[in-house]
Amino acid sequence: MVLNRNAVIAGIGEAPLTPSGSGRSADAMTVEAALKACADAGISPREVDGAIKYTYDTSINTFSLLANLGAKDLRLAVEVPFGGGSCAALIDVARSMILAGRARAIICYRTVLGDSWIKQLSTADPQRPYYMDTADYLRPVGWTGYLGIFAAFYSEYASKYSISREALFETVNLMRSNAAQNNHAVHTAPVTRDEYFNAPLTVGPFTEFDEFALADTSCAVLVTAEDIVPIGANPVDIMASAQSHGGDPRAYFDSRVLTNNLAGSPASAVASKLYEESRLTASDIDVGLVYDCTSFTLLYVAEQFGLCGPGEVAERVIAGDFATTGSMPLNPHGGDTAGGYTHGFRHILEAVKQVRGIADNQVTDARTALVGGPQAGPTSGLILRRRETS
Amino acid sequence: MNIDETMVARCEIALGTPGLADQFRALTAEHRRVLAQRCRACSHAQFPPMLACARCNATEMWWADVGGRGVVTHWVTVHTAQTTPAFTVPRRLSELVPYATVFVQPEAVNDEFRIPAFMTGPRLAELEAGLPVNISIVDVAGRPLAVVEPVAPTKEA
Repeated sequence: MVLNRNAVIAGIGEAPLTPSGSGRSADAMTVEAALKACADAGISPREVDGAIKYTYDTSINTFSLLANLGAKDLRLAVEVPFGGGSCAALIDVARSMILAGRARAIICYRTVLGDSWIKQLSTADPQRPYYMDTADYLRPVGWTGYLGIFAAFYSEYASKYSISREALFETVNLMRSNAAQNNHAVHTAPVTRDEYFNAPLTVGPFTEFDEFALADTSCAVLVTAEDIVPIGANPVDIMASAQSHGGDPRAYFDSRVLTNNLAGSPASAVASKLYEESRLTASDIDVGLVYDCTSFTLLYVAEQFGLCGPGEVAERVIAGDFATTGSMPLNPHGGDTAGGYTHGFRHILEAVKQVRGIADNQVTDARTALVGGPQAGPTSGLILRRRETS
Repeated sequence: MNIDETMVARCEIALGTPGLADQFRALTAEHRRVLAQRCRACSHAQFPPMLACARCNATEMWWADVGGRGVVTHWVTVHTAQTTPAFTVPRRLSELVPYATVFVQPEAVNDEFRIPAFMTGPRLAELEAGLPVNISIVDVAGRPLAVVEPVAPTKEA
């Protein structure tokens, strides 16, 4: 067995995102995204020898995808069973396997059909103990599912730092104005002050405008050994990748609200690992792609990854610092809030486009991008960097 | 209260995660006390229950009364029963909106975890981090639940 010297993101591909209810097949969309990722890399789909997916999606399984690609061999087929935290974890696993010499070209993917995802999300699943905790211990006292956890984080954050719905309003419109520059996005019209502040509250500080946008989407990332990338392709360097469940192993989705680790969340644990491995600091990051299933999620995750100081995020978003032309651009594609819900995986594609300089809403001269998963564990993150041509 | 006196019943670890939840519901209804899980060997307390002690890995765990007093750490107010794609109100509680799911750090427990509890009514407006509350088991929509109420008497209007 020969260890591979370096692992890179060789290609990305996407079945064009549309609002949910498109009637498209998740399987067909996944194959389309994977073939596009191979074409982008200039690598034959027959050379793909590994596949990694999120456990909790409704798309084609790993070995079927490899069969559809006509792959010559299957060296590994892996599922990562987190929630949104799986996003960068897929890349972390692929990179590790390639560096260990276990495979040479691994396709990582996430397909979401909005309607079936919502159905899956609201069903207690014995394979996910945390969903059972929700059904058994939280649901009886009024737990509403998805929004509840992020409303709880808001309450916890607001007891320590200054934040208000003004910051959420600015966040919603920042993501919508970014989405308006993205060729494939769901919510592109701004929300007026009257619309936002007159909308009925649903859970905690949230209105209908603060939730992720339901979409049908498939995204694929091809991670390969550096030496199989053909001349003329445009690979991106992985400076760091990491996973963590944080200081409390039970700080996972939903039951995170029953733990006490505001200061040391799973996201901040991932951030420390990323900066340590890359020997970079937050000031080296040109663009942040942070998990944003709600408006507040984006703000909290940005802060947990050190993209602003503790307690600063509300004033920073109101000051416009996170705009594409601001000092710390976030989610130039409009994120999952306005662009469309991909469980955070499209953030990786956007990070690759940004450091290649080819994004729809390009940050000027972005060389280094951070991808940050949610603040409930287990979660993950990445730092990607433009390959300098010698 | 002596820790031994708080122990209500041995956790049926062998029944697994769903069995523990059944036991929790039955014991809450029978004893009408606020329960968490406690380790006999090292006295560590945790909630929700697990299949072993997260501190010392012992598998003999007990259901223990964590007392009727605590402080609010945070809470989630549910303003409406009108659902959106990402949330649904439990059907039996839909007539009780607005209500809050309140997270309480029990006073009698040094280990850091929160008990989830229910609250509705005019005193919702008093919720804030650090608020001292009483927790008791009350029948809500036909089911015994942990319910919180501020310790301070209601302010006269």
